[in-house]
Amino acid sequence: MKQVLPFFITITLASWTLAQDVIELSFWTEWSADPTRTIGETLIAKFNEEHPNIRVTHRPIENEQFFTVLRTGFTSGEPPDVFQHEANNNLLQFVVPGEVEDISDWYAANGDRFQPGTDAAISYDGKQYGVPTGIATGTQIYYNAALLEENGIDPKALQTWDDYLAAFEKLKAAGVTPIAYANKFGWPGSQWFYAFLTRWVGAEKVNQLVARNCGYAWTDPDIVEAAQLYVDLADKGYFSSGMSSDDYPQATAIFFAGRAAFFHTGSWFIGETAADMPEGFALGMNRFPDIEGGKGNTDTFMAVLGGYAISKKGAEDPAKREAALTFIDWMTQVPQAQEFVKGAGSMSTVEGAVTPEVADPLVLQIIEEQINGNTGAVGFLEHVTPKAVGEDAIWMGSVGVLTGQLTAQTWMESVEEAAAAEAPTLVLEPACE
Amino acid sequence: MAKEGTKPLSQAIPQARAEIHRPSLSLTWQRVLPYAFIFPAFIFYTIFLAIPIVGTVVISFFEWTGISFNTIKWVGFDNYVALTRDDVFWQAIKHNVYFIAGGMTSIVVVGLFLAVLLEQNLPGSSFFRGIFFVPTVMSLVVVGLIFTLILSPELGLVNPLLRQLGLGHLAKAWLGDPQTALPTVIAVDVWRNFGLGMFLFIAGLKGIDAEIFEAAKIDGATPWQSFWRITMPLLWPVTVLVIILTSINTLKLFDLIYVMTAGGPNHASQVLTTWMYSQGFTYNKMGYGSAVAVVLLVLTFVFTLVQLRVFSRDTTGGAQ
Repeated sequence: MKQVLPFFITITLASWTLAQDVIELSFWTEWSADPTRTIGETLIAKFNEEHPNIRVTHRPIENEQFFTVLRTGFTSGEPPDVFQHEANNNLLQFVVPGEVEDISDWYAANGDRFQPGTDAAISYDGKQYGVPTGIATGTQIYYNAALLEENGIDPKALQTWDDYLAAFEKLKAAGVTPIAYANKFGWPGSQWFYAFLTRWVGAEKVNQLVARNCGYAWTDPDIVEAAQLYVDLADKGYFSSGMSSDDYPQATAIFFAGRAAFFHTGSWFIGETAADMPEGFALGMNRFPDIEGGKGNTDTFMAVLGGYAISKKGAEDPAKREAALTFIDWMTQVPQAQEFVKGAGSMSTVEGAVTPEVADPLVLQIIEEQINGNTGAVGFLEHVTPKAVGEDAIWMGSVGVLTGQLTAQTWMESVEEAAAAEAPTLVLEPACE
Repeated sequence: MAKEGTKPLSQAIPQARAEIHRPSLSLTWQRVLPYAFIFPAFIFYTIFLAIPIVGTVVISFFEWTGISFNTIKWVGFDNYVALTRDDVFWQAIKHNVYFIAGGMTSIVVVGLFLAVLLEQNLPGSSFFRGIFFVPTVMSLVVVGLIFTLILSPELGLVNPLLRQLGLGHLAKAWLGDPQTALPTVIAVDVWRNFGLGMFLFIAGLKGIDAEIFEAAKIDGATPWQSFWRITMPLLWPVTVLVIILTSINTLKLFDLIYVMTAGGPNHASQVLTTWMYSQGFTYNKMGYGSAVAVVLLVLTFVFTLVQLRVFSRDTTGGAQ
């Protein structure tokens, strides 16, 4: 017994010392569904294996609840050490109260690995508060090529909005639902509206409007006209019948079931197709077209940037900060970034990650048609306007016009009222001269 | 001289004092013991109810994003003043009233009807008692998700069924139409909760002495008269209980509405709980959301108090 006891004490102490040396990092993401969940968890397991002194614990949270849960984590004083963000206001809501670590030092040394210009949406007051990992655009329309062919519509001949309207009418006459659409939570409707805004009034005016510059207001006639373009789609019966009650997964189900010909959503849909699209489904994609008479054009796009950030808690001591930076550094290297490009159709902002060998052809199409050589960009409005504007007045109003509770005019009046009551949170454009 | 077997006074008095003191120790325990039993529940209640309520009331006087206390700012009654100008807030109160009126009335009527029916010992009564109670034990989130799918205009079952029955003109976006969204959610809530009301009524019916009915029958009372003059008055305490339970449950209902409509379309089914959540957790207005919560708390308290006062009449309902 006398010989065994010191042995056990030594083992226990050694285990305890080793355990003390392992730095625990919590990591919260939106990777709650495949393919991102599997890719993310595989990468994290690999990181943990390669870095025995760091243990990353992943908490995937469903997309629509992610930022509520994240915010609750900050409120309760138990935020994650590292977390996903969607840049602009979405990140700044945590940066401004001082809850996010300034990583300008790391970014100065390593920021050149990311696409130029992508750092603006994650910086504040001249400091860098996160890294960009991917971009998602919302100015494209997906289509079911087989269904269009059956109805004598050539998708590549759809060049202008009028071409689309003619196609919608033809499909409707044939008894086919033109557009799969589900706007229960309001954000898909806002995406339609942003696309029309971008094309009808142009990216520059949208950005000035968001910043409350130049005397622009949401009730300006051209803004209301952009809203009317969206309302017209509902009035003409082009949307699927669950437009005001179904949610996004139901819309994808309708589209994949071949019950509607078009589906307008973000570039993230390319990744979802890997998990959900039926075999043999003929998926095609066009960029959102020009609108005759509009001031915007197809050289502008709307997009959201995603990335990682470290909370103050995640940097509470130098060793933990170093571990968090090591994790971010590892995740944003080309091999890891390419896993998301390959498996999830991501448009990585890491230089050299998106190559023809690994990227989905639709991703390459978006980059070629929309990102390369663009003449302007608009952020998703919920990320560049106060929440009462972007997530309440615009989202809810985009449902209200579908049900007849609002008109384009009264919808924009409610947006203007909300915007006038809130200080703009971001100033993206220089003030008018 | 003291008799044999008796003690001298000098010994008897201290002993008597000791005997008097002995029960006083037990009396102390008797006084302390209830508090000892209450203590764990009191701690639980304080931590999980009293402190959050006080915290909510305090936060309602601040402007706060809810992310960090670095940004909290005292605004006094501004949040409450803003509530008076908030159309959605008033709309939510109105919807709460509809919910209470529609939901509570339906649960009482359906629950009572089925309880009386099942107490007639018809064939299959036991089976249906169980079946009707099943929804009550189901998670509200699960119920909400199931009905959302069933009612989906594109992927659901209700509209195709209506078309099959030749009632295609009734097919609609049940949860996407401002006219039907709230009534549909109320109907689902009733479906989920009538089983509890039914069981409480059954328990109440079993407590009524059968001899009263027999006597009434001998006196020539019809079943209808027996129901209104014996059953209903004697069930009054149970009815009060069902009404109070249902209305409180309805006032605090959140998950079913959030899952089925998220308060939409465009606030058409918004109630105080969902509006409170949206303000606090979606729009980062924790102070304003707390003000909504305080109003809800006061309304629930007043509502319950009024109900207790109104219903605290003779529990036999005057049936003699």
